[in-house]
Amino acid sequence: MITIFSRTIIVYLILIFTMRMLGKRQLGELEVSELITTILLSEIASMPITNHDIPLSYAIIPLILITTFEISLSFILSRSSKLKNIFSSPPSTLIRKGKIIQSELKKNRISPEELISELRQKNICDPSQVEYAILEQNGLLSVIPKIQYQQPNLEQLSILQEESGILHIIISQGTWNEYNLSLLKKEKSDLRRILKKKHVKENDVYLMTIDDTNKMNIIIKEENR
Amino acid sequence: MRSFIISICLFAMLITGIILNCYYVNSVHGEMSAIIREIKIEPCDENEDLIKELLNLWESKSSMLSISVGYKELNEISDAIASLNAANLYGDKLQICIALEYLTSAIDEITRLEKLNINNVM
Repeated sequence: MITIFSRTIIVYLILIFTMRMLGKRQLGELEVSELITTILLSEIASMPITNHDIPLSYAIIPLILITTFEISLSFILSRSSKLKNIFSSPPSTLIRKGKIIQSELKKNRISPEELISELRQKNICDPSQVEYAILEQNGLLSVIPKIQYQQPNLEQLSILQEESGILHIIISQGTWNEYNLSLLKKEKSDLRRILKKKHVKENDVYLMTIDDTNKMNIIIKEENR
Repeated sequence: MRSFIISICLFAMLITGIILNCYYVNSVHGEMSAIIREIKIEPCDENEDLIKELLNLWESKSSMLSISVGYKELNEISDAIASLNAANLYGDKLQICIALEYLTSAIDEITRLEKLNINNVM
C-alpha cells in the first residue's frame, strides 16, 4: 500500500511537471491538473478490471489520492494566483492592437500559420482586425476583434427586445419535471387546467416548456396527433 | 469548500488505512515468523502441529491480507506452507530446509512491499 501511495504521488508530480513543460498547446479546454487527472483516472480504473492478479486496493488508493490532489489543488489555486501561474502557464497575449507579438508565439511554440488558422476559425482573415488574441490557460484562443470589425448588437442598433430567458421543461414525454415546477413556482393543478382547455391529456404531451416570460409551448406526441 | 473538506477527510482515512494495514501486515509477519522459528529441520510430530497451526493462522489472515498484498505473493506463501507440510510428512530433511527458506523469504516479501524505500518506490 505504502509503495503504491508514494508511487502515485511521484507519477502525479512528474506528470504535472511534464505537462507544464509541454505548455498550453497540449491542453485544449482542460487545465494541466485536470488533464492529468483525466489521463490517470481512466488508466488506473481499468487496471484491476483487466488484470486479475492485482488487488482492487491497488486501484482504489491511487484513485482516491489523485481525486484528493485534484480537488485540493484546484481549491488552493483558486485562492492564489501566484501558485496558479506555477502550476499552469499564465495567459499569453499573441496579438495586441492588430500586431502579432512574435516573442509570445515563439514562447508558446505556435507558428504564424497556426495562428492564422485559429483566427480563420473565428471568422477573422486578417490579424490586423484583431484588438486582442489571448491564449488562455486551458489552451483555447480568445479573440476580441477591433470595434470596427465587431458585429453590432441590439442595443447599438437601438432595437428593443424583451428578455425571454431560458426554456424550462415542465413535461417531458408525459412526465412532470418537479424541479422546474418548484423553480417557476407553478402548480400542477393550474397547468392541468390549461392542458384541459387545450384538450390535451398530460400523457399525450411530448414536451411542454415555459420560458421566463411565462410563454408556454406544447408539443404533442406524434402517435397521438 | 464541501468537496475540499470531503477530499481532506478521504485523504486522512487513506493515510490511516495505510498505517493500520502496515501494522497488520507486520503483526501477521511476526506471528508466522515465530511459528516458523519453532519448526525443526528434523521431521517430527511436533512439526506437524506447528505446521497445522501455521496453516490455520494463514487461512484466517490471508483473506484480510489480500486487500493490500498481491495475489502472486499470497500464492507463494500458500505454496510454501504446502511444500513444508509435504516435506515433513515424507520425512525429507533437505526438503524441509528448502521449504522453510522459501516460506521465510515469501513472508518477508509481503513486509518488504510495505516499507518506504528507494527499491520499492522506483
